[in-house]
Parts: sequence; C-alpha cells; structure tokens
Amino acid sequence: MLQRYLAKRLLVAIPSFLIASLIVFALPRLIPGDVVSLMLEEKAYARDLAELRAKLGLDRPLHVQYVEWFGHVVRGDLGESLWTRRPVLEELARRLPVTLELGACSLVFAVIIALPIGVLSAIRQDTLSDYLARSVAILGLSVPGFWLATLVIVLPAIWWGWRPVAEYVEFGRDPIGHCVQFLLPGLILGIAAGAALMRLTRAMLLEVLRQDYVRTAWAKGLRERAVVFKHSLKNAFIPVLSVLGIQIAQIFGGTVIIETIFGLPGMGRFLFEAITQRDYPVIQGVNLVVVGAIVLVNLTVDALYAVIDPRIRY
Amino acid sequence: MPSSIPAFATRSAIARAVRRKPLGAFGFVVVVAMLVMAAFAEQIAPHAYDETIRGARMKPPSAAHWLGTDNLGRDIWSRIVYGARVSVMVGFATVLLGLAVATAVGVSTGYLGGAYDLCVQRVVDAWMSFPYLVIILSVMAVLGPGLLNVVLSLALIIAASSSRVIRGATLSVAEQTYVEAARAAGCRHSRVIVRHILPNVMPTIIVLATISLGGVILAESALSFLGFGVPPPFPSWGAMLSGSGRTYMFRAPWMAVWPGVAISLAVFAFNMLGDALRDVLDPRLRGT
Repeated sequence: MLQRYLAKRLLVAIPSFLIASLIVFALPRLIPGDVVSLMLEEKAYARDLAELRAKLGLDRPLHVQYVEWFGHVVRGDLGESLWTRRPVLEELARRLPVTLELGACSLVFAVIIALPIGVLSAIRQDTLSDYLARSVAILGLSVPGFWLATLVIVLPAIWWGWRPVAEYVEFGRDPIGHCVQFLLPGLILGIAAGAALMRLTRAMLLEVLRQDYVRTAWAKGLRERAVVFKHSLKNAFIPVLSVLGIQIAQIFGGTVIIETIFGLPGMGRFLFEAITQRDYPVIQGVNLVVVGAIVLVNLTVDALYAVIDPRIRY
Repeated sequence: MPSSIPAFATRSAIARAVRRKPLGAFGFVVVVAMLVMAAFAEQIAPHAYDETIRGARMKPPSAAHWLGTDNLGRDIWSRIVYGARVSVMVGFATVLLGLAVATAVGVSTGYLGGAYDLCVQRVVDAWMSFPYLVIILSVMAVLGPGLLNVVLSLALIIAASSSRVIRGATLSVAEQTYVEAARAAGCRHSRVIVRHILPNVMPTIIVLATISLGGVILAESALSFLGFGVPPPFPSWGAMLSGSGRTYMFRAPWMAVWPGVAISLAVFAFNMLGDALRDVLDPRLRGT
C-alpha cells in the first residue's frame, strides 16, 4: 500500500518537475536581443553575436533547443559558465554542501523556535503569553533578514570590537570554527521560517484541541501533557509538515542574501553573482538544481505524511 | 456604508474596533502615516532627499537631524520620508497588478474547472516550487534592474500564489444555490461571474491584498538591497542599507538602524492590519 502511494506521488511530481524545467529553460530565451549584444560588448562573452547566440543555444528552433538541453541535463551536463568557462555542475558540487549545511542549521533553529512557542501559545490561548508570542511571530515575519544580518555584523563590532569571521572556514582546517560560522546566519534565516511555522502550529493545534476525542481524553482524567502531546500534537502536525516543505524552499531563497552578506561560498551567492554577471548557464543550472531539490523535499514530506498518519493513502 | 449614520455611532464603532483589535488599529494608524509620508514627502521632509548638508557628514541623531546624517551628509529622516514613496508605489502597483491577474486566473479556473483548470494548476504548481527570491532574481536578470521590472516580477509571484486562494474561494461560492438559481434563470456565465461570484470573493481578495502588501514591501526592500531597485540617488529603504554606505556603518551605526526600523514597522503594520481584517472579513483564511 505504502509503495503504491509513493509511486503515485512520484508520478505527480514528474510533470511538475518537467514544467518547472521548461520555465528554467525558457527564462534566458526571453532576454531581449539588445541584452545579448550588451553581453557581447560589456562582458566580452564571445567574439561576435553569432558565437554568443550559439553559446547560449539561441541559434536553433525552440523545441530542438529544449530536447537537446534536456538531453544534456539528464546526462549531468549543465553547460559551462560564460564567465569562468568552468563546468556548471562542478562548481555546483563545490557549493551545494555549504548551502545544505546553512539550510539544515536554519531549519533546526526554525523548529526549535516554532514548536514549543506554538504549542504554548495554543494551550494558553488568549493569555498574555499567547498575545506576546503572536506579536513576536508577526514581528519575526516583518523584520528583513538582511537588516538583522547587517545589525549582527555592525553592532557587536562597535560595542565589543567583535566581528563574525568574514572568511569561509573549511571543515578540514578547523571543524569547530566551520560549524560555528553557520550559527548566526542560520539563526537569522531560521527566524522568519520559525515565525511562520509557529503561527501554523498554534492555529492547527487550536483546531485539534476543539475535537471531540480531545474532550474525551480530558474527561478520562488524563494529564495535560498526555492530552497535548499524545492526542493532539500528532494530529496537528500534518499541515505543519507541508508548510515546513514550503519553508525549506523559502530558506533557500534567503540564502541568496545571507550567504552574500556573511561571505559563505554557497549556491545562493553563486546565483547572485551569476545574475549580476548575466551568466545564464549558471542561472539555469542553479535554478534546475533548486527545483529538483524542492520537488524531492515535497516528495519526502508526502512520504512522511504516510508514516505519521496511516489514514493517508490516496 | 450609508452616509445617514449619525456621527456618534461611527465614533463608537471605531472605539469598539480599537478595543477588540488593538494591534489591527495600530497597524491601520502606521499604514495611514506611511501613506501621508509618501504623498506629502516634500512638505514633511526637512531636507531634499539628495541635499548634501555642509559640515554634517555622519552626524549622530540630534535636534537638527532627528535620525542623524549619512556618509554624504544627507538627512536620514528626510530620506526615509521619501523612501516611503518607493515602498508605497511598488507595494500598491504590484498588488493591484498581481491580484488583477490572480482574480482572472483564480475565478476562471475555479468556475470553469475541467482540463483548463488542471493545466493551469500544474503551471501554478511549478511556478510556486521555486523559492520566490530565486524566481524574482532570475526574472530581474532577464528584464534588467529598474522599478517597473521590480513591480512586474513581484506581481508574477503574487499572481501565482493568490490565484490558488481565490480559486478556492470561487469553488465554495460556485457551489451555492444562488449561483445555481442564477444559471437556472438563464444568466450567462459572464453575468454569473460578475454579479454573483466576484462580489462574494471580494472579501478574500481584500484580505489577500492587505497581507500581500507587507510581503511585497519586504521583497522590494530585499531587491533594492541587492541593487535591483530604484536607481540612486532616490532613496529606498532597502537600498539605504546597501552599497557604498555599508563600510561607513561601523562609524555611523544609525545609518544601519533606521531604514531597517522603517521596513520592519511598515511590514509589521500591514501584517497586523491584514490579520485583523481577515478575522473580521474572512475567517476561512486563518492559518494561511
């Protein structure tokens, strides 16, 4: 049963990945013609217009381009950077681990912030601590991450003369320093995701706490801990899980800014540099990997649903 | 609202709204203040946004310069007042454009259904599987920087995500018996949509607009921070935190503090107002 459910989810995931790959493919094809000549003049990406068009793959019919491009992608060839002439896949492989570590770190912070506060806010609904938690959560959604990052770099430097390390520390050179450098950027990225998760945890738990079986659990004389954790939280968790999948995508979006500010050589910064240099093969490559990763995350979330809740079998 | 309501009734209604939704009322006040700042920047700001004041480089906040001055000797309070204009303009233009598209797509897919709905929903799925900043930046890479392009790329995101919510609202309205009755009475689809579906989906759209405004202002500031927004010297809150000024922030921290406070306060206000409006107009949206 579980296998069939997963196979079905996979079948749904494939078309959405294909459509997304079409979007990734189409983006550089929408560049206005004068931008291509601008790339030729300013960035000196090629000797003449015809060569640049050939490099960008703009010189053949659209459907031929797509089939050819997708054929290369399937074989692991994402083309090469116009700027550095290095294969995009190779560059991505070097940067992906940095972004994964940062993302994992911020996800941990998000969950640590969201779950306890969300649960507390729901079981103490309309008390002072509930109002406080909700206001802080909306504040967390309102404060821009790049501002927090700027403050974290500027203010300690003024007050205590302390600055976060501006240079990336490799794991092999200094394992502890390597992990520590992810804490601050991870926390900043995790705040917004945590705030969104907290609001949802609260809303869903409130919904569940109104159910009949929860009243029955209270009537049986169970302790609050048992009612909340054993009977309610598990049922409130499914929508929270699906939003967690969306938050993972948004966390990646945030890495574009945070990696740039903290000088981490990850995918986000790579994408930002490629965009400022109009390096389309890199932009395509990063986008494709991101979409693929997000489709995978959503599949995992679907699989986790089935594990948490045996009722879910479509 | 009929204009014959006596003044005291309106006043007590406002008092009740403030008592029941204090944070929403706070949000409303901040939003109005921001609109006034944007509309009357010339009258409110003590200096022009690009005026270099002699002998006032990086001065800390004082009576003469409430929020201090920046590395080029410009009054930060004045620049924040003018910066509201960018946030308000981008915010409202994006939300109007995005929600117009979202309404067209959401109502038509929800009402017509079938293969059309299925295809459009798969495209929306794919579009929404990108992190929003990644898709915006990729679109900006194609279109190039500039205010209009910021609006276009942000509107695309708003359109995709909101169309899903509007479609849901349309689905539940389309099931109502008055829609069936209208069809039975011989109304055309266009009339059913305009006279029966749209007015009942409107509360959802209004709530979406308010909540989206906060997100759009936040996203605009991020794009300006990355250098894709309005070109200097015109101030935008995000751009004030980026660029050449960053190296001076260690000596003049107020340069780093105030623009961020302005962004946070504005977005916080829109979120609070949106939350309060949602509770009143459309409780179904709770938790989104």
